[in-house]
Amino acid sequence: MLSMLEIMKKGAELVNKDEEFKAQMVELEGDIIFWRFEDDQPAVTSRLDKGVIVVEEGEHPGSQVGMKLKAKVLLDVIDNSLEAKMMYTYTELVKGDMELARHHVFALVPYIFGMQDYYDSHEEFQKMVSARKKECGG
Amino acid sequence: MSDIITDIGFDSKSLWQTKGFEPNPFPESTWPLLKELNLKKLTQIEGEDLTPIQGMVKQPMAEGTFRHFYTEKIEKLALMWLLISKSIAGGSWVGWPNDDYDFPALIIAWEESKKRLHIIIDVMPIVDVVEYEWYREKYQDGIEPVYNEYKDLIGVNSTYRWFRAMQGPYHIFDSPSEKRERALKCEMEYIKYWVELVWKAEPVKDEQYRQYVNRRKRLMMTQLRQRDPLGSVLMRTLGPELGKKSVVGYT
Repeated sequence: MLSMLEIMKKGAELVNKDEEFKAQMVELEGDIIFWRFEDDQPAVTSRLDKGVIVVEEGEHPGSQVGMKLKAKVLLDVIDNSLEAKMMYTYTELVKGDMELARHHVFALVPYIFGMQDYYDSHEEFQKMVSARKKECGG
Repeated sequence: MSDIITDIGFDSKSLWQTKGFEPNPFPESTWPLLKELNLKKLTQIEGEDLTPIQGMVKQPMAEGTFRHFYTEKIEKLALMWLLISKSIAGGSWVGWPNDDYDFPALIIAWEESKKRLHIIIDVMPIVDVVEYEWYREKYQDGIEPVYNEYKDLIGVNSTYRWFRAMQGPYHIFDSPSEKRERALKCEMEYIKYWVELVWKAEPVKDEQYRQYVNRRKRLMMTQLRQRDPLGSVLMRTLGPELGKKSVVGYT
């Protein structure tokens, strides 16, 4: 079974190589968010490091925002069956508040839009997302 | 030379290139309706110079422009036309009466991407329309035929309770992704209606009511300024300086 960490890492790998998304992320730095999945292990941290999206295992203690959600919510955003901004509706903030979340999660827009693009255009990534979603009952 | 603005200087396609879709003609469809009001250019609000965002703004995550207007009845009327992350075309018109008038605020939002459209449409009452039922009859009930014609556009309301509390009785909110042309027509109908209201509006004479209207209007503006998620998006994508100007421009 694939973990969300593997899927998010693959997404980051693709987006970090894409000139269009690299250009959008060029000024992004220091936004750290952890993702605590109710039905997936391990937790994941995504952070912007000098315009590069870094995805790593665990809940980074320096995260400004921590989100608790079901894996399917993020998978739905990636395959665009859920509007990205609606993710908050299905997410419990376990660290930070809504103001911080809006600010820092917005830095992930190129990453999220990038994963949506690659879901449409990259067969391997699409298979990873679809397979995990199937396991979640989606 | 007249200082009335007759041209906004751009259309939906002239400022930027979207990815994978062509945005609907929001600026060029709505501007002709509003320019009827003989709008003048507003370059400063609350000491904030707006001219840096009235040119072309180009940042890594957003590009586009803003326009701000006023008349002898309108305190501010703001147009936004912005492309976010190459993928979302964001348009809006937000208009407020000045302190001598009580007509509703114009709230029009257009957020379009390849797969989705999100709209907000309202002639938002400045006063409590239960307490001031005549206000609803005078300024709002006239839009009811349009509301009824387009109520298929209405869907799940805003997740923000403060915003739901602010809405008028003819508010339209949702993501009618398959009805883009229709949604734009509805926005145009609401704009036409608001323009008529502005033309007909007379200054408020009752000083006590005037004070109430302005207190409530400032509260609405403040809540929008502090809480509207668009504000966070603008601050983040345009940076704190330009982001602040853009938020002050419409709230």
